[in-house]
Amino acid sequence: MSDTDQEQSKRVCVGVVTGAHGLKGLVRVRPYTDVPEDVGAYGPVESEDGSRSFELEIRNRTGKGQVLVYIKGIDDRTAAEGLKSTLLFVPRDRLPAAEDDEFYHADLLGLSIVGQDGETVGTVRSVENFGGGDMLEIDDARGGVATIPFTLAAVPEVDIGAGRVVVDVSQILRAGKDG
Amino acid sequence: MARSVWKGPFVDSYLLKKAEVARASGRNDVIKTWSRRSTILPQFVGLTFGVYNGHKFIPVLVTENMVGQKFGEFSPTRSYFGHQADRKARRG
Repeated sequence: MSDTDQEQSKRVCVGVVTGAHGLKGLVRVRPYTDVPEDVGAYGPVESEDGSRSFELEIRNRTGKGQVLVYIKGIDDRTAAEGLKSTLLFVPRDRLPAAEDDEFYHADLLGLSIVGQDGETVGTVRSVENFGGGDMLEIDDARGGVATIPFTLAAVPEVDIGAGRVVVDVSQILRAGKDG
Repeated sequence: MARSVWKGPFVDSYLLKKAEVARASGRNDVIKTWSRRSTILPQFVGLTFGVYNGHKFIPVLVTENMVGQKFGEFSPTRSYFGHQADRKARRG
């Protein structure tokens, strides 16, 4: 991975510009944050290639979970339309520190998963919660996808610095009756 | 049309047995089940079930407010790849 790629991977995408609104340069943004208004809460955002920086001022919420945003320097509809489909990124270190036993999904994705005996299990593919508690979806080293509940018993150690998650392999759920 | 009350909640009997064994053992192993149609009973609270969605098992830690719902409600069968910007996971 090149230095540029590493820099890019330390950013998180907080939203995307979906179009212009009105004649005064407002844009519609689809936020990817938990709270829609937080799309502008982490300071200036950057375009995907990092070449442009935008200061967002949230004006209002629209239907469909989008927000109306004024971007400093964008004062007419033509300029606003030019931003359509622009992804908005912030550096990962601008996000506030997580509490104890809380982890940003962005930090967990891609970590390698090892058993308590050091055996490689796979990598974190995604973090989901369908109402029954958080879980890790694993790209299984044996092939396919496995899951594991994100609990202290099943995942005793998360070491983001070292890039690994230690799990109790007996708690891994693989498809098939033997898994 | 709602299920008649006199019948009681539906649960696959094998799942009840599995839950009893898991509770008696005192270990917090995940109980794999294919029975999405079973109702969540009060005696399941605190246990973790792996509910099959046709592709993989979704871990479901049963809590009190899930009682009366079906296991399948917590294991969606369609994929949704949402965005994760500032979302956090809490290790329970």
